[in-house]
Amino acid sequence: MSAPPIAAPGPDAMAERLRLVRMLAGAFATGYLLVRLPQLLALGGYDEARFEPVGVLAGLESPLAPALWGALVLAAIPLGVAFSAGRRLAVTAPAFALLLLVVTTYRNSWGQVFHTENLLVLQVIVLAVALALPRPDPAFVIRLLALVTVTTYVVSGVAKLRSGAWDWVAGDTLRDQVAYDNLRKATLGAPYSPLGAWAVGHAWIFPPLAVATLAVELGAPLALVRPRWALAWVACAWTFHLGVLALMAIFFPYPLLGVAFAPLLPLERIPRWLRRRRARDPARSPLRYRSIVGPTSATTASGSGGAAAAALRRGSWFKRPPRPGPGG
Amino acid sequence: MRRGWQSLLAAAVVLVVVAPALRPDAPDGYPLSTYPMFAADRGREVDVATAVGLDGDGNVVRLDPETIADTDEVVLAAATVWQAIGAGAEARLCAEIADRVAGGSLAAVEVRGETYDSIRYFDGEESPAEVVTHARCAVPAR
Repeated sequence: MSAPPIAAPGPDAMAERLRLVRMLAGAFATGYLLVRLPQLLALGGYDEARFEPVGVLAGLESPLAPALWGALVLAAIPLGVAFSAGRRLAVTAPAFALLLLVVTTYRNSWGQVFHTENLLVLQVIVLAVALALPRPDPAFVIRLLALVTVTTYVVSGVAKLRSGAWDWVAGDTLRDQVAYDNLRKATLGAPYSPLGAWAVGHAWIFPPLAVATLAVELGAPLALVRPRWALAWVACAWTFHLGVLALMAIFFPYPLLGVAFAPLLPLERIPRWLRRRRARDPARSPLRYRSIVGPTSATTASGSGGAAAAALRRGSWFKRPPRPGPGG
Repeated sequence: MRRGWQSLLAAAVVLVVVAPALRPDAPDGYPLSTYPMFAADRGREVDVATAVGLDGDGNVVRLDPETIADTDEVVLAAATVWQAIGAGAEARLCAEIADRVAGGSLAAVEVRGETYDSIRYFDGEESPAEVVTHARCAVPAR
């Protein structure tokens, strides 16, 4: 018996997915701002000589006044909460996207572009523009978010090919990168990866890792072809980031927490899965359930949730295999 | 009709994200980036910009990013030292760091460039092949 086919989700399911992607991206961005708040506010006290503005702030001749900078950072947090909660999106979504862009650009304007927030900001901008429109097409917005995600990976892969394709495929460049990054951490008194330090002594490890890296990055567009391929690519890309963490002690939270890949995942199936769990185990706290799913999880921007529910009924990745009987 | 507009918009978005990579030797930017972070071939022999403390006996004590550059980001600390060396501001950076470690066990701070064989470093050869001291300053007592 073959596995149930993974069908392309219907429009109501896509509306539900878009809602969940917005919630996740907004919650991640807000949490990120909160976690980084002390470091962000500390930028207000940095020496002007360190200021090297990039992106939308490239025209600034000097750093922002510390009070203004602090106000911008603090204003972004409640806007992020409103964006995540879906409150007055026509206003809060563009305002939050703009502030997030400014705040993260400013953070990247001190001589080092970090590359940890690029995709987050691009996705929030796409969401903000789409959600500020009177009647956004959820399926199109989701496709656009997925397109942005895979394109950033392709650009990253192309950068590696341009810098010396053969050296990359041979693994020499990757090995040197892993060694350099860990060495830099060691000489700057920071923790480095013991696994990476061990691995650089074994050159044979790196050619397959390099090929896998390029395959993940350059093969990213395959995720747009079929839902099943999207799942496979997300698993590979997530593993790639896990490898970066293990070998270089570099934590890319947006992809590693899965939020970067949310547009490619069948998130709309989670509420139904939670409802099933609740039905199976009524002792579970309904309050806890509601706090995750919300009271109108199946309701979509286009109207009732009936069609979405029907689409969801067609099959589920979360379907459990039949339980064995007493004899099995 | 709507589908046509959507395709055009999608193509435009892709073009915007790809644009930095289309320009040869384009500098990195934000949030549109060329994602150069792991692309360049650095080779085994690498230069590292850092700042170290020296105790009373002249032993090197590694300083963390917080002490060097008031940040928890290693790459930003390294960039800060490179910036200072490039701008001729290494003495000022040295004094800032010395001020942060004042009252401790360190006698002096050095802003330096160190050259290593990055592979051999993790094979036990932890001493730099070359050290260039760009600035040295005494740690004030408190």
